[in-house]
Amino acid sequence: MTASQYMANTCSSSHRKRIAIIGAGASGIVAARFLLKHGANVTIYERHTSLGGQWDSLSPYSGVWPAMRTNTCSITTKFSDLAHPQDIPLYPRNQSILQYLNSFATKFHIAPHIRFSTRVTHLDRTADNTGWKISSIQNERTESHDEFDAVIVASGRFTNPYTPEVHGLHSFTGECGVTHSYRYQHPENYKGKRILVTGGSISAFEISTSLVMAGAKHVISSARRIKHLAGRLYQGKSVEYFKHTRYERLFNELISKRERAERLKDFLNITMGPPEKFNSLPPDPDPEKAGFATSETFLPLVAEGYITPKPWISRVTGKTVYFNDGTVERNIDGIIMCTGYDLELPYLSEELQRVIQPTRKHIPLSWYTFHPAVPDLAFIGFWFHSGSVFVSTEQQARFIAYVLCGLQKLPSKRETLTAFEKYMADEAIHGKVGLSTFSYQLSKLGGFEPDLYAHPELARYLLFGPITPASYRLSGIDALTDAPQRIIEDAARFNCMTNGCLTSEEAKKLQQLAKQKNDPDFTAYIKRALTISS
Amino acid sequence: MSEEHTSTSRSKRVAIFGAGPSGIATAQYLLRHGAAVTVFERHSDLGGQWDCDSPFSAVWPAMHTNTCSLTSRFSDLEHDADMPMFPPNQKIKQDMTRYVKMFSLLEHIYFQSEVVLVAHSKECNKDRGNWEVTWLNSDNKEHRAFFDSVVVATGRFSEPQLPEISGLASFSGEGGVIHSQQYRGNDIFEGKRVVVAGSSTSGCEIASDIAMRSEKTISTVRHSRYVFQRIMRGIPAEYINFTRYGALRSEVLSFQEDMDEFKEYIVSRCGTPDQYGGIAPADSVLEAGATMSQEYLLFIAEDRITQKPWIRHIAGQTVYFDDGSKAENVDTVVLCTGYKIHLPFLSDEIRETLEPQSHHLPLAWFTMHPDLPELYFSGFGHPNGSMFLIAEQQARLIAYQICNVVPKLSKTMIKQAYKNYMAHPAIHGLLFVNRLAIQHARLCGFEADIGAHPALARYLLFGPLTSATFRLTGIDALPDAPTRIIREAGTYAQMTSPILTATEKELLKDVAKRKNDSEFTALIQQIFRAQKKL
Repeated sequence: MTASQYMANTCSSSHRKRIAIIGAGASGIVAARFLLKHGANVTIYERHTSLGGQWDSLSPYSGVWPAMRTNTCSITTKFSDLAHPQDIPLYPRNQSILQYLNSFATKFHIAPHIRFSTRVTHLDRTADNTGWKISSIQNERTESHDEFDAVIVASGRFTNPYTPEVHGLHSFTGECGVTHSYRYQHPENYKGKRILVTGGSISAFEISTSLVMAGAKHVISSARRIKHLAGRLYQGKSVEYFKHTRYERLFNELISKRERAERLKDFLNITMGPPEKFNSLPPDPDPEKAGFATSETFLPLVAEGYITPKPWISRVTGKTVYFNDGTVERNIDGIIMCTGYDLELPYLSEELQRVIQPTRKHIPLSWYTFHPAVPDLAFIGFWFHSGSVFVSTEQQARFIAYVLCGLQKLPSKRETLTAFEKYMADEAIHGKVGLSTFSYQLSKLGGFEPDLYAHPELARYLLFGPITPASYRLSGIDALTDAPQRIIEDAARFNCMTNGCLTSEEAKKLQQLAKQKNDPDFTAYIKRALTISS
Repeated sequence: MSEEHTSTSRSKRVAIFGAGPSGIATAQYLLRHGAAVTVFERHSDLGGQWDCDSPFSAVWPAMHTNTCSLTSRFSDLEHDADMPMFPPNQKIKQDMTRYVKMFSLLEHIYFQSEVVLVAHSKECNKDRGNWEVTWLNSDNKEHRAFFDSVVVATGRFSEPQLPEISGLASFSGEGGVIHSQQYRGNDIFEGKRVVVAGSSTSGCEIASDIAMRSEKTISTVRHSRYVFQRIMRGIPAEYINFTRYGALRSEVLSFQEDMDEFKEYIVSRCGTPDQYGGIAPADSVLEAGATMSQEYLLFIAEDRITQKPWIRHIAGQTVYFDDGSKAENVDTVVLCTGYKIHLPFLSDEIRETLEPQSHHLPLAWFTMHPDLPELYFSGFGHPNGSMFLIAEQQARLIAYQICNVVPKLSKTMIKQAYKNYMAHPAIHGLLFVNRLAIQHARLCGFEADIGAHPALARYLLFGPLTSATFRLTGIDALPDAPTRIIREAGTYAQMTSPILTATEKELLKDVAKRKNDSEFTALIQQIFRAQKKL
């Protein structure tokens, strides 16, 4: 853009905030939707040729492989403004989600704001320190420099594969070689082969089972730490209906850390059960120490003898792999490293790097969104939680959009700083959040906290139903008049919650909760809810 | 060993038809008790269904057992150390081969010998044996011999049942129409569109297997069944549902209560298919039926399998369903529509007395007919649970009766049992291995005497119901049965303590209360007293 163009631009839209979004994945798109809704002038930088980010499994910047399904249910894996087709499965294929994101972008006219094939090379303050300067390169040829009032970083947490040092890994001679999960695409290529899958995160478990399904001869799964595993379902209900509920959040707030750990154990037990009972390796009995991941097919495949779990690797020579327990596996044909990702923000200016100090694994921020020392720069999607990322992403997008568009005041400097210090003090929450607490916190910050008390007739859906994006459109900014109807319809999908009458068990839980909470308003609310329900 | 048992002038001559699990287990016990045994096997190798290379087997090479390795074996044979929890079928076959070697059964088996006729001996031949058996050798020559007793163990799954489907003959997909018996694995279905018809075990298992590779798998069902998994929460289904306690409990429940509890057992763990995006089953489990499958429901949820109602019509490559929907470009139709009873070798006279039905044999205890003494059937009950467990107990019932090592069952008793069977034809599809095995054991006095071993009560009542638990008491009891029972219960970290949990105690008290039998109540009290000393 020339200087005169730039002037023309700023003059004609002097009242409209110019906001750049880096990344046209799910986070970038939903942020754009709410910014556009509230009159911002939006530019999205996307290095790939199309939108979707991780959900575009064919993109070189996606770690998703073509056969991958979502591990969160379709009732929550969506945004509040667009429904899925009626016949969407419970856990859709990734392609269905990409299609959904495209429909979403079409519906809200987002595509015209995206600069495709454009990589951000530099992000810095403007010289006068009032705005932001983005340097980018299109098709690795055409450089541009643009200025903005605010910038949203939505370039993703999972783009920079990390491979740990393994003694002798470079000497591995198996015909399928060593691949990082980021580059894992076609399990068919491993048909009839003996494959070592390393790592103890969800990708390791998912890739192991996908290899078995595609006909790999044998899978050896090696992890530094033996984790517990959880399933996605209990009594035919997706985890969203019993773990990520508002009731769970309210209850967990009132109990001790030890009691929470006990409840986590119960959750693991009812959805999966102890690994050793599947003839797998025993993890530390304390799930807080051992950690857990989600996969309902991994352990049954161990029980069938398709997958052999092992501790971490001590060394590799040729096609032979030695493990820390002294065991050996020979004739390994391929190694897939599911060892996670490092943070990647190569475009941050030196000054920003110095002020924000992102580490290899997380960005120190208040509410995972703003840095207290850097106004008008927001981060979205740099956290991890179990449960649908769509739920928290949309609420984070709204919080950011409302603040940047001036609909909602940014919390005071003091509050921001307190939140920042709290974050810094607890390593356990670095980069990690819980769906129910995080999305709720964002709704409070953004001015759209659902007013439960105003809707006692929805108590069952709101407290025991899934936390859907629509449930955050009940109150406050951008509330929808048909939100109650949507909440009821969402909960009833897959015949899971087909009426609003609290069961006697649920009623008991709520009475107990009210008693422990000892808040007259809450007690009155529960009383009303129970009266309506009966 | 034969000497002491042969009190009559000569050994009983027994013909066994079929060298599958039932046949070889029966042969072993008959030989042990002094009978002269001839096994006729039409194939060139033993194993029956478990010989996946045999043209008479419906087992495909990649199939694993759906019952745990500890119950999927005979009491006289321990597994190798590397036996998986749910082994591949080839390992089972290997074990059967070892079993046959261990007891020198091979010399008694006539391979490639197909029985073509069994008939009552003519008056003039009565002293030579009750039955005249005609068989064809590999040289296609007819041979004849006389036997005192005949055991039919030719299997329940040899003659495919093909459904009437409008337009089936017009199907023009490249893979054609096959019956599940011809299914050999999922390799050829890569990227294909496949319709799998039927919702019994083979229907669900084959649909799941194909769904791992196909582009689309449609599972079409006459009626949607309740589905539960072979391992849930780390516990094999049979360890919860098919226990000795479970059998005792079923005896104090009405038929309706029994079915309600079975349904509750499934729903409380797996919910119902509609919650996964499938079809809602009928409310009554008796009407809907139940099937065990590990992945079926999950694959519906993951858009790997689409469940549809039954086929209305087929035209070319298009399959139309009863709900008006259709599937186009279908490559293969797999009919998992079960098997007919197939006993072509029975003489007309036997057939008239027996009245075999297309899907079941009217018999007392699935074994004998009041008017056909010395003719036995094994393996036609087909209960849910391990077929090895029932094969061995039924083999013992038959062998002990033939060899007169236990009191002969009276004709009155047999008649009564036959009548009882005929009174409840509806339950033929919902048989449970624990009840059947215990029934067989009681008839011949080898049901575990818990009163004599109160310290083992928990293992016997709530632990896995293995064949070893039937070697504790009565004829053929093993001195090391108690140690084996403890070891088996503890395998895979399943049951490592003899101490009954509070819940288990309550369950026992409840059965005692409902049973209202002073002897049983005394037994429970004795068990509880013994607990204090553990």
